[in-house]
Amino acid sequence: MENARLLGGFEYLLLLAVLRLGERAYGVTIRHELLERAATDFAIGAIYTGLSRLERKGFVESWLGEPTAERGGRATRFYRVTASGAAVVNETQRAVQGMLEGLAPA
Amino acid sequence: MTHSITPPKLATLMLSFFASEPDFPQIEGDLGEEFHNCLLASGPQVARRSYWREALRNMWALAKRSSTIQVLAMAALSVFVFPLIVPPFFHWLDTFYFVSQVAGLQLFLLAIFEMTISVVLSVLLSRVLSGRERMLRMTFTGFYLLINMSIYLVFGWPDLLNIRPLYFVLNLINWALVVIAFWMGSVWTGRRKLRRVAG
Repeated sequence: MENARLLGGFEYLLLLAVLRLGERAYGVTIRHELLERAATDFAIGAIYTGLSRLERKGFVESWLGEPTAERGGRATRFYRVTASGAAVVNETQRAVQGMLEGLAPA
Repeated sequence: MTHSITPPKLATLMLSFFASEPDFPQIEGDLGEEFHNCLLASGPQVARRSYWREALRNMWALAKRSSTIQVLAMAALSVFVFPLIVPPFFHWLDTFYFVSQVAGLQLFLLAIFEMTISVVLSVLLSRVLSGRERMLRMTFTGFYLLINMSIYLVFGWPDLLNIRPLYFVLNLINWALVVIAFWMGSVWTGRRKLRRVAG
């Protein structure tokens, strides 16, 4: 059987957040999504560190948006999940579900 | 009105030390956006407090990365090069009779030697840690002054007690020259790289 590529817990959550947000995924929105849905408050710096790791692996891609006044003239860096990123999410999901099968909820 | 209230400048400056190019300059913009939203929702005091908290959290998160630790380690190691090679050079100078005969010549040659070492170190490290020159300069300056002040306070306290005040002033000038030489070498290397990229 072929070895599946699997994600760590934080990377998995990050990819799911980016997938949920579609074209609106950047530091602030990803942080809010994780806070709202996973009840975990990550620093934006930690989120970008994880995203740059995922980008190096080819699981996400990024592009720069327009700078705005409320951001102090800084541009936004948006992220989206690549086909390879979506595939690894599915593989991880299958692996986690396989491990959970037959276990009583804790 | 809310546009006239800006995030705390000191927090932004401290954050830029960790989040500037080539890393994540967008973090400053993200925190600025959160500050703006918080300002509208809860007022300036809460927004400033929240900005400071987030800036510190982000600095901590970014400081733990291996690239930051690499810069800190290289800067710290380069500072320890000076106590290793300056004393042998000092003793080597002592072997020349004429050096001790001309007032201030030994100190002058020593300062030139230390500045040269500083430039060479900064050029080498700026090449190795390309894109992180700013953090390298700041860290080197901090470590260099901290180590030298500590050594001076342990071994050079008679100078501080006005027994030899001139020595203390000369030491301060020497430290400043070494730091300036390091900055010059690093800035020069950074600009040279930019010119090469533009060309």
